[in-house]
Amino acid sequence: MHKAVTITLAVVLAAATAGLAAGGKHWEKVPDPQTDYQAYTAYRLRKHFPNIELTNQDGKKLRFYEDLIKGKIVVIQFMFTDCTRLCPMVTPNLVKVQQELEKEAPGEVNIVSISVDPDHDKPEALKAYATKFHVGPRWQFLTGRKSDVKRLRRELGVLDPEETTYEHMNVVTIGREPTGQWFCMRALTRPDAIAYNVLRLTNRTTGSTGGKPASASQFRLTAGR
Amino acid sequence: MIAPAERVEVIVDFSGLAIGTKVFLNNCMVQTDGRKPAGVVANCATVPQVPGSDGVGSLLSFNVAFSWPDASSFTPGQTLRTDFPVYNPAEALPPVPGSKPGATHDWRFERGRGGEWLVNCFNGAGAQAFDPGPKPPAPENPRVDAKCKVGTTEIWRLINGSGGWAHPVHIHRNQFQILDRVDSGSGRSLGLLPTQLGLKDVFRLEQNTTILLITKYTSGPTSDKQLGKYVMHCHNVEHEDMAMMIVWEVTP
Repeated sequence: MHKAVTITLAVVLAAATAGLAAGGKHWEKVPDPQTDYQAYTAYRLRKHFPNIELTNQDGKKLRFYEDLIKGKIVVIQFMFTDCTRLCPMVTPNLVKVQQELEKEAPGEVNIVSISVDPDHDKPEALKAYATKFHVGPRWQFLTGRKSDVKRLRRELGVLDPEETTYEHMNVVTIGREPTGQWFCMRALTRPDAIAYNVLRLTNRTTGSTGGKPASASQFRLTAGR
Repeated sequence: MIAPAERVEVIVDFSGLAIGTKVFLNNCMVQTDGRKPAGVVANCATVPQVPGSDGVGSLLSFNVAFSWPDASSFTPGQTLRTDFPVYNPAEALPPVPGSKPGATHDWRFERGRGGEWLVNCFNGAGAQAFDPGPKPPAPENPRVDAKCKVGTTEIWRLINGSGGWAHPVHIHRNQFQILDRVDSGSGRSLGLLPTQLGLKDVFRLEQNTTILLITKYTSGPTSDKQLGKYVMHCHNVEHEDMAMMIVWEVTP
């Protein structure tokens, strides 16, 4: 009994410390890593998603965090319409990925393609590009301010500031925002392998956690004891 | 400096310290960016106890609580082992043609044409990335990049030919010993770092550096030959996700 009380106190203290460290001006409730590790991870990751303003292929203004990834399972990729080397291979590969996803988990996954050449890629150009490759619904192509897009790539870990040979990397960033589960894959990986790994984030397939959010007990957190 | 997931064994001599002394293991490497560390703080003795956002601070503390009759198994300054290398280079299988210094397997840690991190992506057969094989429920069948016969001794060469990144390379199953560390351009020996002695499974493959490893594919303690497929990958998770990984197989 005495031991249980000690543990509870330690958890409260840890949460309070984290809250102070992250908060500053206003108090935001920090999820308890002991009881909901995924919510805690999602909370910690949120600051890395700049809520930049983007415009999609239909001219609609959207915020990156609020409108495109919050609460969603997403595949994020960078491209540009004049790209002749990588995109003509990557986009058809992702079309196959999307077909597999729509077959296995209809409506559950969104694809977000963001132009690294936003000054040139106006919504009309993106619309034409999407039409050309016959992309499905729930796949948005977006443009924005070049500096914003660069910041976004930096935060997602797909920008190498010293590298000038590659306009954008052969990588897709895949994640489920509410649970903080994120990873990336080579964009030219065989489409069934990409789709399989994306589907592990959905509720309908059995992933490492059987499709359920992982609980703290599975992670054997011992901090505070 | 040691890499993520790299381990070293150290002996700490507390015998000269007064009872009540606190001893701290500190991280003095500044890191504020996911790409690489930004150097070491000037005075490692005055870092905060709770690491800040730059990661600098104490990781462990030891309390010198009581004394013990001196039964040292170790004299400071003494050489612990002299019987290295534990694997015999003379037993190693012949090197692959053209590899200098001789190695049975060559692994180049490099960027693919799309900027993604790969191993041996330009080997004449076009860009090759780690291939996980068919999706489940089909049996796992990744592409095997090297086959190694159980009981044999081989030399591997890990090559970093670029100047941008160091890769913490993790090889599963086997312990390796580093025979040499050379400049990838000139081939000049750079000597081993103190953290590179002994048997290891994670290697910090520095910029423009090649390391030469030796191992023997020993069997398990019983009849288990530990055959099967194992991976070697960069322990930088983003690089690993991009497919900086190979599969090697131990065969009968």
